Amino acid sequence: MWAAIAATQRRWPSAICAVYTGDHDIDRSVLVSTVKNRFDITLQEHSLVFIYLSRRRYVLPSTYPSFTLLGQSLGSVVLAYEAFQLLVPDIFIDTMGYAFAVALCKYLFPKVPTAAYVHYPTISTDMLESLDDKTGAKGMHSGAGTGLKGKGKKNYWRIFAWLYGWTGRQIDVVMCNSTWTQGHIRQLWKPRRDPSSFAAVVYPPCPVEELQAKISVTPESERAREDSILYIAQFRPEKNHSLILQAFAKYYRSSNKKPKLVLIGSVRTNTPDEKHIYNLRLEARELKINEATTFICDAPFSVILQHLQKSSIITNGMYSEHFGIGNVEGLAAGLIPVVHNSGGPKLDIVIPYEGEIIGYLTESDQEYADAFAKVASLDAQQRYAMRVRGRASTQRFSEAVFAKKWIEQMETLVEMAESTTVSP
Amino acid sequence: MAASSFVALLAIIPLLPFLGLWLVKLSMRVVGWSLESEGRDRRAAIIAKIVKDRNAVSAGHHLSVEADEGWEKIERTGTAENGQPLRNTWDGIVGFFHPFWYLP
Repeated sequence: MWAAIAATQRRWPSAICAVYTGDHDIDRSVLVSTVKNRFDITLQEHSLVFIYLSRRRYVLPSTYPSFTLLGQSLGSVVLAYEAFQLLVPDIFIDTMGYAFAVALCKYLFPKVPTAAYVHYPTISTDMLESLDDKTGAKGMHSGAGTGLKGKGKKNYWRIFAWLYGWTGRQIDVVMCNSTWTQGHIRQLWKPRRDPSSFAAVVYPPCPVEELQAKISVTPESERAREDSILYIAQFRPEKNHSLILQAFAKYYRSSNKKPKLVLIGSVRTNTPDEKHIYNLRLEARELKINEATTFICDAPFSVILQHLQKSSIITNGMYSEHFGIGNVEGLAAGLIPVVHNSGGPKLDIVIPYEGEIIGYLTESDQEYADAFAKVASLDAQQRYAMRVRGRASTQRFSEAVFAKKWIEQMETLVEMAESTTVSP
Repeated sequence: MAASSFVALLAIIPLLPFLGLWLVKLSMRVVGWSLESEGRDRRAAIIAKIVKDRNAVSAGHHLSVEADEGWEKIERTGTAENGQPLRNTWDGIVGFFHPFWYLP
């Protein structure tokens, strides 16, 4: 997001970037310096303005105990209306998944070009299909479509998907963070224009350059790497840490090298996630891998860097992860990915580079365990070559590539804005 | 005569949903116009403030002194044709709808 604003400011120095936010405590100069220090992104403070919104409660999931998807979507319309009461922009961009807000803009101001950068669809065809799943392996709602309540849920989701599709079709420029998201958006929004050119993939900016500079991948560093598996993800149920624990337990029992598992992630305070991580620790104990498993909550970047430098494998357990920035970070640091055979990891990240594989796609705990063993048993030179290939493949996720692609899409919007200004 | 009027009325019925939609669209545009006109002064004030800040900064030093390599790359990504200089004079407002900031 910061990178998008910075790229826009640099390309059009006279433009004004107005950010509609619900955080009233944001101070412009403090924010600009924090962004500089934390992400090394330079924002032009004098071209940035914050428009403070007071109706953010309407988009909080806690406001809608039932019908949350619909409630939040209609709430975003209320919030967007407040935004337009405060300032009508010349181009309107949503980067947080509020398609209904963008549609409102199009209907209120047909001449204002609109864009959406979609990180994940509000509802996906995978979600709809998972209701009928009988394996229990398709995410949070797996198999929840049975019984009267389940059928009601299914119909509600279908109606919502139709409504979501209609709003999506009102948006002028659509960008998606991954091929997986693009596929779902094309399916749900069913554009009238040529579907093959609808919704460009713009990968989110990953700190590839920084990781390449700070973490060495050399024959010497290879000798320092341990038989350690790293999983970087928030401690939330859908990240499926449990699958990784079970897979690691199988691998641990079959290996004589005393491998380690390191789980790094943030825990949202005052949420069920706090209990979730407690249960994961219990599970590690029950699987008798607690001494080989390390849980690290809210680790600073320096600690993450240490583990990226000394671990061998990066893993993830989530079904249909939309993109998977943690996997890209691992790859850029030279780790070999052993990831779920779905979503962004399958379609965008762990794909062969120059005709050779850079990691392994797996599904069951046994497949994960086998892939962990496979990496450990690779010839040292083969393993090193795979790390080098993986790192080289991450160039397409760099901040420079993001800025280039973002500007390409922005140029379309600016051309539209200029044409509406010039025409009588 | 009455029969033909009745038939004509019947023929209009299928058009009513379209008329309804058209009315909804029109009323939303009216709301849009009113939002634009009510917010015109505020918008002008925001632009004036930005221009003032910008002038104050540019009086101190030129805007583009910090052209590091990354930024140069972005500038080169523009699609100027026939060797024409890149048009970068657009001075409109880009609104980013971002109700939540997550700063670590």
